[in-house]
This record gives sequence, C-alpha cells and structure tokens, in this order.
Amino acid sequence: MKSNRVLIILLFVFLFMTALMYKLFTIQISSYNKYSSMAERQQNKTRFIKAERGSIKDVNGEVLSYTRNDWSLFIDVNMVDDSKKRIIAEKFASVFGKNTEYYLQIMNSAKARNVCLEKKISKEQVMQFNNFTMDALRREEDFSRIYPYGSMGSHVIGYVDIMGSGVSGIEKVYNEYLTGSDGIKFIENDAIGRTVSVKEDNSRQAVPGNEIILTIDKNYQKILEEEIKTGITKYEGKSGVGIIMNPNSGEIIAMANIPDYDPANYNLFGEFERKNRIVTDTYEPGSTIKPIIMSILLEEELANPEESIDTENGVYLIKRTQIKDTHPFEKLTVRQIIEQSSNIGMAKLSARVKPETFYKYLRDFGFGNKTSIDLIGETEGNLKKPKTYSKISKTFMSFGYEISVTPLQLITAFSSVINGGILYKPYVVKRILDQNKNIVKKLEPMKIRRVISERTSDKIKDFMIGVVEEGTARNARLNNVLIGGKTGTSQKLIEGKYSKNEYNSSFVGFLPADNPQLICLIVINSPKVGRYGGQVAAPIFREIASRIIEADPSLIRDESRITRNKKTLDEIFARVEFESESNAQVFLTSNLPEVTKNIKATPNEFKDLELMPDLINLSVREAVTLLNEMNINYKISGSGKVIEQSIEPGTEVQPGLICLIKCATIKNLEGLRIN
Amino acid sequence: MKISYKLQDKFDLWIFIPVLLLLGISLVVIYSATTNHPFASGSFDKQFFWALISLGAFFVFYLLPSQLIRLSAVPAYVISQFLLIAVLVAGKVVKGSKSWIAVGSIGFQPSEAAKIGLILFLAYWLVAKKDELNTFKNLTVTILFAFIPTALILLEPDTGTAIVFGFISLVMIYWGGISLFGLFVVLSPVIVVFSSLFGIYALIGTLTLILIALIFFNKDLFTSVSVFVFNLAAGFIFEIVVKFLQPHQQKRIASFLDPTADPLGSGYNALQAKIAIGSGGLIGKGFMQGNQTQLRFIPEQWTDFIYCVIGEEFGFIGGLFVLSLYLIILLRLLIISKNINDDFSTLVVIGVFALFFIQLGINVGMNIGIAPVIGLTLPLLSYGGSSLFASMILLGIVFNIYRNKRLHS
Repeated sequence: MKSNRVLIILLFVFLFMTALMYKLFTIQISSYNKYSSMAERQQNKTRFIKAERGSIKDVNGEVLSYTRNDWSLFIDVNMVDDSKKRIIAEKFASVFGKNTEYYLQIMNSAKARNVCLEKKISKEQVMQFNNFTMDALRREEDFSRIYPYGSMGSHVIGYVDIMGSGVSGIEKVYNEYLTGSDGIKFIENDAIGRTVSVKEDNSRQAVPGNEIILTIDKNYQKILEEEIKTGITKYEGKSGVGIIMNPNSGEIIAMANIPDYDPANYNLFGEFERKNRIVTDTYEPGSTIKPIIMSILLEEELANPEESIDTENGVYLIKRTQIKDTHPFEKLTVRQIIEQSSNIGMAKLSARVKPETFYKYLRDFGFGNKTSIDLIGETEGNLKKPKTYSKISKTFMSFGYEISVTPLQLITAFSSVINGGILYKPYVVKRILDQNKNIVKKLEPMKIRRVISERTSDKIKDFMIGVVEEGTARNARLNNVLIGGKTGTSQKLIEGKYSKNEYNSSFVGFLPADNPQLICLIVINSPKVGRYGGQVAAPIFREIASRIIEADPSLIRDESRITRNKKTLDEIFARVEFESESNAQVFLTSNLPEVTKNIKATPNEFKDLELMPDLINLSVREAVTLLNEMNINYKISGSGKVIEQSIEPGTEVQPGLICLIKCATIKNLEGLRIN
Repeated sequence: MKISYKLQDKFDLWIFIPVLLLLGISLVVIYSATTNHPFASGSFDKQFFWALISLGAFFVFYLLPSQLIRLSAVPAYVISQFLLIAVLVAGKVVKGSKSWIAVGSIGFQPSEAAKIGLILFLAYWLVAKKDELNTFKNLTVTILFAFIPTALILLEPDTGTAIVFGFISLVMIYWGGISLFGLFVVLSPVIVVFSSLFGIYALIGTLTLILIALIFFNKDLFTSVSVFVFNLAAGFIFEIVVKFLQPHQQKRIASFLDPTADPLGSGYNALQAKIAIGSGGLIGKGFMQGNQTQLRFIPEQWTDFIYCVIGEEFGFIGGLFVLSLYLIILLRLLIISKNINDDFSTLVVIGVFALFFIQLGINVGMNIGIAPVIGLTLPLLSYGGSSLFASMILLGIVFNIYRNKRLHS
C-alpha cells in the first residue's frame, strides 16, 4: 500500500521537476535571444542630447538671437498618490508663487502619464528642487530662443518654431549651420528610469550650432526702425520699409519693415507683419528709377548732360496719352530733368533708346530677377519683355511705371549706379563661426557684373547731388555733408487701377556724395500728410542720415565734410530764381555742365566796397555763404569745390558785378585733367 | 540489535549537505541582490545571523528526546491557531496582508509556526484515527482540522500560504491511508475550482470527467449525487468568491492566465522574472553581473523572486544545480518516510516533504512563469528569518526522527 503511494508521489515529483527543468530550458536556452534582447531594450536607453543652437550676432558682435538653457518640470502622475500630489503642489507653489490648487488641478486633470507643471523655467529655479526628493519628478532641458532686442531686426533674424527649428529669416536660411548636431548618450537605466551608468565609448557629444555674424549693424538698424516709425506716425502712412546698404559691397547694414513683429511671440502677429516686405513685396518705383534710366542714355551716349530739352511747360501728349510734370518748366537740361524729376523730359529721352537696349540694361541692373540675397521669400518683380511693350511702355517705364520691383532690387540697382557701375549681390551674413570661433564660412562681396562705366556713374551721381542741393529733395539736405539722392512718388496700383489718393513715397539717398559709403532707401506706403517723396521720405532720410553721422563720425572723412550756415542758405535758396542763360555775364568760357543762378541782392543789404576773397578749394556752400555775406552777386557752374573764380582774389568788388564760380567734385576734377 | 556508530546512521548527510549548500547559495545570492540596493543593503548580515540561529535550532530539535516531539503536537497546533487569530487582530499590514506580528524589533510570521503545528498535529490525528479514517465523520473532522489554519491564513489574506496548507493536508491525508474514492472526494472540488479559472468550457469539461469518474467508482446513488452537487457548487461558489477577492488578488489570477496583458501592473513581476532568467542563458552573467537584478527591475527580488537571481547570474547550469539539490532533499525525505515504520514519524516526514515540494514547485513555477504570482518563499533560499527558522526546525524534527529510526522499526 505504502509503496504504491510512494510511487505515485515519486511520479508527481518527477513530472513536476521535469516540467520545471523543461520550462527553464526553454526560457534560458531556446528563447535566450528573445529575453536577452528584451532585457537589453528595457535596461538601455538611447538619449539624444540636444545641441545648443548657435547665436546670431550683428557686425559688431552684439547678440541678436541666442539660446537659453531653460528647464521644464514634469510629474509622472502614476507614481504619486493624493498626499504626494499635495506635497508637490505646495513645493511648486512656494517656488513659483502660484496657487497650490493650480498645480493640483493640472495633476488631477492629466490625460497623459507625464504632465508638465512648469515650462521653460530658469536654472536657478530648477536648483530649488535639488533637495526635493520625489521619484515622480523629472526635469528636462528645454531650450528657449531669446531675442534680446525684441522686434529689432526681426525680419532679418527671423524666428524658430516650438521645436527650435528656423521658420523664417536667417534662422531658417542658415538653420543647418545654427542647429549643430545632437549628441547621443547610451544609458543603462534601472526599473524606474534612473540613470545607472553611461556607456561613454559609444556616446557622442553634442556639437553646438555655428554662430552667425550678420552684416547688419544694430545701431544703424535701431536708427532706421525708429525713424521710419516716427515718419509713419508723422505722415500717417500705412506702413513703411527702409534699407541701408553698403553700395560698394552689397552688404545690408540695416533692413526695417514697419509694422514689425516680436520673434519670441511670432504667433501673435499676422502674415503681413511677419514677412520681410523688402524682399517679398513689389511696388512701382516711380521717379526713383529715373537716374537708372538716365544712366542708360549716358552710357549709350544718347544724351548730353547739358543738352536742353523742351519740357512743354508741364503738359505733353504722347501717343494720345497725356504726361504731366508736377513742376512745369519750359526747358530743362538733361541734368535738370533729373534734378526736377521731369516726366516729360524722361519720356522724350527714353524714346531715343531701342527697346532691346532698354530691356537689356534694366535686366543687367537686376530687375525681373531675384537678387539671390540669403533671405527667404524673395520675389523677382515684373520686368516687361520688349515684345510685350505697348507704344507707351518704354515711356512709362522711364519714370517708373509698368515695372514692379522689390525695394531690395531698387537699392541694389541704385548702388551700381553710384558705385562706379558694378552690380553687387546683396547679402546679410558676413561670417559663420564654429564653437571655437574658427571661421566656417566667410562671405565676400560678390560682383555680378559691370552695368555702366565709371564715368557714367560719376555723372549720374553728380546729377543726384543736384537733386538734393537744388532739386526735389532739398528736404534731405544735410549741414555737414554733401549727399545725393532721388525722390519718387508713385501712384499705387490698386486692383489694376492707379489710385488717385494712395501713393508710395520714396527716397533713395547716398552719402557722402563724393565717395558713397552707404545708400539708403525709404518707402512710405500711403502717407496722408504730404504725398511726394520729397515731402515724406526725404525728411525721414535726413533724420536717419544725420543720426548715423552723429553716431558714427568715422563714416565721413574730413575732406567730405562741409559747413554751411543753415539759416542763410535757406534764405538764399528761397530767393533762387532761374534765369535764361543769355542774362549771364560770362567772364569765363567753360564747357562744364553749368547751372546759372542769379541772386538778386536787395539795396539795403549793400555794404562798403570790399576786396574779393580767395574762394579756391572752398566748397560751394562755403563760397556761397561768404559771397552772400559780402553781397557779391555770383553765378555757379558745377558742384563740389571751387576750382576757379572769375574775379581775382584781392580785387575790389564793385556792386552789380557778377562773379562766376566754377566748381567740380574731386572726381570730376580728376576726369578733367585726364581729358 | 547492533548499534552502528557510523555518522550516516544517525545523521542524514544526503539531506544535510544539500541543505548547507542551499544556505550558502542563499547568502551569496542575497548578497548579490541587496548589496547595491538602497533599502535592503543590510539584508545579507541579517540573513547570515538567521542562518546561524536556524542551524542552532536545527541541532536543538535534532537532539530533543523523540517523545517530546510527539507530545508537543497538540499544544503546537493549538498555540499556532491562537497566533493566527492574534495576527488577524494585532498584525502588521505588509503589502496588503496581515501576516506579521512584531515581537520587539523582530517581525515574525505566525503562518510559519503554524506549518509546524499543522504537520505535527495532522500526523498525530491521522495516527489516532488510523483505522477509521475513511468514515465520513472522521474524514470531515480531519478536513476541518486542516481547514481551520488554512481559512485563518486566507483571511490575512495570504493565498499562497493557504495553498501550501491545503496541499500539506492533502498529502498527509493521502499518506495516512485515505481510500481512492475519499481522495477523489477531497481532490475533485480543487480540480473543479482550478479549471473554472479557464472559463466555462473547461469547467463543463471537468464536471463531465467527474461524472464519468463517479460512474466508474460505482457508489450508491445518494453518495454519487452528493459528491457531484458538491463539485458543482464548488465551481460556482468559487466564481462568487473570486468576486469578493481583493482586487490585487483578482489581478494576480488574471495575470497568471495572461502575464503580458498588463506588463506594468500585476504581470510586471512575472514578466521581469522571466526576462531575468531568460537573459541569463546557459552559464549566466556572473556573480553581481545580472543587470536585471542589479538594476532592480524585480521588486524585492531577495524574497519571492530569488530564484531568478540564480537564473540570471548563474544561468541554466546554476538553476539546474539548485533544482537538483532540492530533488535530492525531496527524494531523501520520501525514502526516509517510506522506510520508517512508525506511523507518526512517517507522516511528519511526508508533511515536511509536501511543504518543500509545494513551495519549491509554486515558487520556481512563478519565477519561470508556469504558476501564478502568489507570494511564496523558496524554502532555505529566500530571504526571511521566520521562513528559514521554521524550515530548519522541521528539518531538525526530520533528523530527530532519522536519528531515532531504530526505536520505531
């Protein structure tokens, strides 16, 4: 009996032992790979270490955009009960000064396992949790992109999305450089996810992103933005843009679109505020294109600066279309056409250019093509091809209609007109540096082509000095430096029709006039107070230019500086009248471009006879001031510095005698000697 | 009668050497699992202390006069029932069970003491009723005596230990001479309950088999119908009982049936243990090298899940070696039990055998995923003073019986 039972029990023992051993065998031997890979998977985690995004700096190294290592705090709600939740909520409330209930609410309404209690907090705040032991608390690095100057330069800098990837501007275009490469850490972690050890051999360090040095100068940018804002308020414009550029390299020094946006809170702003209208939007440039058209005529030798053109007293009919001038003149020289911005003059002159030549030059100036600046969203504008020209296309294009350009295209083309004839590619990034400040990439000025000769360039430049000194842009004149420029007023195309009330008022100016170091374009959209470029954009330019010169005196070399008695000069020019050339008493023959003026001195201003001063090498302004004080009537030809005077120094000045002064800019002077 | 002075005659080295080896392995493994653990780093020292105390107790019981053991059966049973009641009243709740009584700074589990009480008392009782065991009355009373501690432990609740009590009782009653039909009556409801876990079809199938068995036994109609109704009731009552079980126990049952269903919840331990053992492979990762263990993927691994430390760090070979040591002990116990003619002694030894067998089976089973996770220690290996102490006392009693075997033959 007992033996049977022993056998039965033995049977059970062996069966059970066999079962255990068999199962052990299947787990450890047959399924070894499966279980060991499961173990591997849960024990070893790969953690990516986010590379720090590079910063963006201005040309002087001022930081415009950088990344701050913030932290976010998470709670695993599965690991905490109500009493622990309360402890956590109280701790957070004491650190962040919020309500305890606020945090309890977040934890209790959590939909996912991990809830974020505080986002993007500083390192110092995280440190306050160092002695707070709670397994459920997890801290994670969470980078914030910081723009120390807020909206300043936002259209160039751009912004990043919540993942820290560039969406617009430099942040987007140079995203690859800025991003750097993430590091990888192979981590052995325990059951609750705590790091036990790091396998250093396979881990890779994060490489921070590159640093981008812009051509933008923060100080210039600030001035530009402030003055455009002031101008928009003053002239009640809808919006405005401005660019400052180095005409000799294509470097963009400042670029402003007003209204602008805050890159840190970009989602609060609309599409219009966010886009860089300087590259994305086009307009019809109006009269600002005239110097460019004129350069074609001079380059092709189809016009002579002193040639007189009948400007029809301000109204002219061409191919049944009436063209009007704002300031009617009977006759103007080619030079005066630019100074007085005569549409009729331009229309007549442009008829001399063949459509193909006309198109080729405009194309060479970069119109109808992207400038390939390193910013996104650039449009190419619209440049008509000769075969689509109507009878009056060329005429209208000659004063800036039937052609649409971006502000950037215009300033780029304009630069080539004044810099000696070379078209440069505009750019905003100067250098790219790695974390050790080694140069990764250096961007040099890029010449695209020569469009016009240096000679033509000098002539046009000279014309534009006249625009400011004697023409439509006298509001842009500066006391201490001679500048050149051109105004523009174009009726806005609204739904295919030219608006009677809405204008783009623009001014493009450069300084110093004898050796341009910067060029600046201002376009104010639909000003209500004032209309013409000369009334709206030119004074804005003057404010910008004078502030820049004040802030950066080294910009203007001593020989470019002039002094003038502002009050006296204004009085003089208020009395300036044009007279026919035949009235002038000519003491000196000259083949120089010549503008003749006659100052009518009033008798009571007469003083005793004096001796004629030596005017040679004085600037026009100085000479004029001096002569005016001495009540000597005069005539000026040319501009720049005095090179000859008709009355010898020391001669007794007789009342009524006119002194003819011959002037030239330094370049003209050199040109003269060579010729 | 010739008295042999060979050591083996008085002291069974076939059991003692495996026991010593297991104690040694226990300390090594506990060292590995707890040294780097923040809350258990002192466990090795404690266990080492308990191993020495338990070995002392072993020799004390080995040397006791054999009559004393027999006489202590009734008091041991009665006292252990009081302790089981006391723990329900004044016990400390650890992981949802009231199974600990604190005596000063030392915690102790009355259910461990009750194991000794149950084995001694059942042996005593079965000897007393030896010839009339198969009467309905005596069988019922015997089952009742076994049921009292089992029920008290279920109330703690400690399902695992209750199952151990049930199994010990069953084996002892079987060894005590129950008829095949009697065994069938006792065992069939257990089978019905177990099969009901696997759904209604399994339950119907099992009930059908029981019906066929009843026809085979060919008893009178009243008995057959009563037994069947009893089985039927057991199946459905268990369903109801499951509904009243603690949620964590319900989950354990569910996770045993499908351990991957809730890998982070109740199935977590089962899965992690399997991963630990599985990743150990043939020769293991080496002492202190098991990363599942060292990275603490298995909670309190030094108690119920100590076998998977062995599996992970010493591999299939280590696991097999430990199982072999237990197999030797079990076989030796069975042989001793068979060869001793004294009824009381043979029943005590078979009770100890049943204890080791069921705890080994369930514990290793739950480590490798063929038994539900019900919280049972692995005798001699798991960390825990009470368990080790009780196991060594029981072995001491077995060795006492072995020493005095000539007296009974």
